[in-house]
Amino acid sequence: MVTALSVLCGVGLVMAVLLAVGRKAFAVEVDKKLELLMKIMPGANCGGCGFPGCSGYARALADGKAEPTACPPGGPTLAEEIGKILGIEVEASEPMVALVSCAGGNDASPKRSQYSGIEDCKAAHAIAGGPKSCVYGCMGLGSCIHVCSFGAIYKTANGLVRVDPEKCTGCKKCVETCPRNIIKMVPKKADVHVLCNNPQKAKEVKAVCSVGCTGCKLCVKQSKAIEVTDALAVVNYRADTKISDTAALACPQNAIFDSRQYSITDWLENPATKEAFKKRAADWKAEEKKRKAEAKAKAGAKKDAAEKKEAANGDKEGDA
Amino acid sequence: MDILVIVLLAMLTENFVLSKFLGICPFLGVSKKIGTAAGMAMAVLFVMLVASLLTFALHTYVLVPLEVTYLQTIVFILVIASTVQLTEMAIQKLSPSLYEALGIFLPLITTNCAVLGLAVLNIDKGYNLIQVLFNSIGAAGGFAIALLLFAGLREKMDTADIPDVFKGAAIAFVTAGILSLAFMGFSGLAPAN
Repeated sequence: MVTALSVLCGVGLVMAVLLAVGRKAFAVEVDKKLELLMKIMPGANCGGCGFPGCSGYARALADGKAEPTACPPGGPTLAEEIGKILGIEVEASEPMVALVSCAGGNDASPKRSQYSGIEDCKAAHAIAGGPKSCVYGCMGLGSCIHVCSFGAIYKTANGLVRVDPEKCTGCKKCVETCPRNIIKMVPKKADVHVLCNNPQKAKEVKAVCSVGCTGCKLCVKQSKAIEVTDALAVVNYRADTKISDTAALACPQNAIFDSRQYSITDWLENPATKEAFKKRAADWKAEEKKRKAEAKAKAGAKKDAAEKKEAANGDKEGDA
Repeated sequence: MDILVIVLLAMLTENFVLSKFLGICPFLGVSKKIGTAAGMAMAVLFVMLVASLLTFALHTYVLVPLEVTYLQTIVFILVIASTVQLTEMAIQKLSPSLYEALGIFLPLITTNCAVLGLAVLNIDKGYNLIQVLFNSIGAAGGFAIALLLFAGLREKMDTADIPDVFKGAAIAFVTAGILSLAFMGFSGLAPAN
């Protein structure tokens, strides 16, 4: 017993002395700035900055190889602190959040087959394009949920996933992992989104989903900040123009979501909200039709009047 | 036993990674680039040499005379962990770029079963000092061969058209398995005794 203890303690002591000597002999000077930077890192190691973890980013910052604004979880507050340590001016960047651009839940875009494989979008997508009838839509298996370090993504009752913009730090991990590229980065303050990812023509889209964008361009008439490419409307988030709330009302497919009018949960899952919106949209469309008809009638009347006038003039000339 | 046989045995037939399945963690973790793999192999070679000599000396001159050989595992771990720490400090001072490249896997040699396995095997086989030395070189060489072969394969795989579901760790594990099967072919090299 005593021998065993003394052997263990002896060996430990010798090693400790060796390590202490080694620490002195191989002492490496660590940058003061690096130490300070390491302390203020969020420590999520999400890789959103493009460097290997928080320590990699801190090192790149200390070497002047990284921008202080590159850390999505830290945001502007962290950028400011980094600026203080490095002694540089920092410009605030606009916070971006992830958005799942699909609203076709099980009710709108039903499953075309039974999938009982592993709960992973990539695996499901690899098997004949997945169980969802729309091959561009969200399967809701939640690969993005697994990669999110911040618990910002959740499943909805109708078989989709949603990103909570309050929890999202904009690290883009979900964007990279989604096999269908449904998740997109959008400015946090943007309030109108086209919730569809299907670039196919109207007939194909309508065959697989009741809320898919058909590329009809009716929304483009309401706002210049919406563009249609490949029969899919896309919001141009860089445009300065504010999107009027009539854009959502004008969409015949109800594929445009306006967060100023409804919350995303209500919009996707509450049937009452859906009905209310449909009624509003129908009312608006009817009004628009009426207004157009009136405008046309007015224009027609004007034209008639002008023609009459011209005819009268002609008569006069004839008389003369 | 002939020294050449010991080296060949440790390197090929009883390859630590591919036959004994020791040290799988760095084998899969640091095999993405040949350069880093070579650095890791050198670090392991150094640690294995120092650790097995130290543990051998400790065993022969301390544990056996004092009749406390049951302390083998704990004492060996103590020695190996300290050796790795020393190596880490030395590499950080002498070659910062290698330190950077090895990253987390350098401290992980501390818990690398290949090093402890070698130390224990040396004692179990009853080798003398010279044999221990060459067994360590052979084992580290075997580790290096496995690591470099695998790193080479993985570099090629980076440019290959691999199905999405297999990309990354999945195809690496499959490849490691096939490589291990291939190394079974060396078993005929072992002397009959």
